[in-house]
Amino acid sequence: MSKRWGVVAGALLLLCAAPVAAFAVAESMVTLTLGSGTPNGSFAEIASSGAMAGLNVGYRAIRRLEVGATIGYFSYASVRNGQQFSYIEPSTGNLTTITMSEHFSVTELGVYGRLYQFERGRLGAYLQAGAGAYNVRFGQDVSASTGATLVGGNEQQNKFGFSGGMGARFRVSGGTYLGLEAVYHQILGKGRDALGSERNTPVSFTSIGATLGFGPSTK
Amino acid sequence: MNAQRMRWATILIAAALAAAAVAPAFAAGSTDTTPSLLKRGSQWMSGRVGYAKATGDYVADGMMGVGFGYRRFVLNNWSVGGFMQYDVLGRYDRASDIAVPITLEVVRHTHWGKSFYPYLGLGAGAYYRKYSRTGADLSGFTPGRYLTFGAHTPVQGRGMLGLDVRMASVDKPNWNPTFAGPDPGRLDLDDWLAELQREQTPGNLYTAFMYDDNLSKSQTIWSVKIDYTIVY
Repeated sequence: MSKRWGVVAGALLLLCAAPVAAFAVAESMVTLTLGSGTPNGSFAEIASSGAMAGLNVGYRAIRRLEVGATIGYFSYASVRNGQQFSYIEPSTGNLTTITMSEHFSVTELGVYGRLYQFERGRLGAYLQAGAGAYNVRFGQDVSASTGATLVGGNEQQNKFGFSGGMGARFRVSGGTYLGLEAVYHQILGKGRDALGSERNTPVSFTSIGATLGFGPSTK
Repeated sequence: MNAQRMRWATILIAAALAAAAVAPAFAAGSTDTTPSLLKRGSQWMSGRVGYAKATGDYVADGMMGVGFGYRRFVLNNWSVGGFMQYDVLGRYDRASDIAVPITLEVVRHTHWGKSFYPYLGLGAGAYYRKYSRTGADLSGFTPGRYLTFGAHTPVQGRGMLGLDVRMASVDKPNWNPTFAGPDPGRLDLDDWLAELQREQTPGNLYTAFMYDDNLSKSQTIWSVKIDYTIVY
């Protein structure tokens, strides 16, 4: 075993030996999350990785279970973003070349439950599940054009969706926590493309973020 | 623009909720001064009547709405509730634009003195939308989310009188001969997701664009109602 792995194993042993953290029922916790999002499944075919920000407000309903409300914002560029297209502009009849600017944004408003499974000393790990209303917006614009163009617009819909994930947090001092979490989001849909073929159009993505939490400073 | 305003309003309210939520943690160890109305286990049964309106271009004038609901305080000052409303958002002659939201909400309550109980919360649920007597009626469910705020004051016995304001964001129904809306023949969001998938297939020669499709596809529904609540 290398020295590095020895240090890791030692740290884990110390962690296991640490006293179980005594979190109290009815604690409040506010968590800010910043990170990135990665599209999954068929959504990965049409969107690139992006950024996310989130805010959770939760309470320990029972000792190992935190429940609360969450707001999240996720932004992804379309795979057509930055590509050039030449077409006949209907309003002028001219051959026009445009550089596309296309983005998806998703805002989430939902509820979640966190089950804390391994709370030792300053460290806590949890599993998380949630559900909520998601607003998915697709915006199309032109960043450069060789002539007048009417290309542009937006489409958006509110949809139900659900999420699940896991994370860990570390109490750095007082009531301040730092952590990491990964959450998978799934929003179902079915659409018909411009040629009339029906396709499943789930919007699914995984967000990985650093968390900054504020909670009780006493144990 | 409606979506933009709704997004910023939601962020501001979330920040306010966060600030409200932190307070109990910092107050650990202090004497509990929560009034019995707002204590864990308290239950509120509410009935409402008042004004409701959808905003946007070419919408009918606002009309009446009624509703009822139940709240249970799962923690001191925090309630979880379920509400159902019937809102006539506007009428042209005999044609009506109707919304029936069936929702769940999480609300943070507080009190200023012994007679004023303001609250602020977030909710989401299914909105049943119906265009009635238009000649081309439509109906269906769409998800919606909202922020709610208001206040109550005790009036007699276990009764409280209050005012509830709700600002909801929902999808705008498609164009109808009576009520304006997005073109039903366009590619909607799901269709665009399908179209972008199709364009990634090898050998694709056709690319679709939106042309000046900037009309908002969502709308804000306002509800301002007088609320009578029985606490037990």
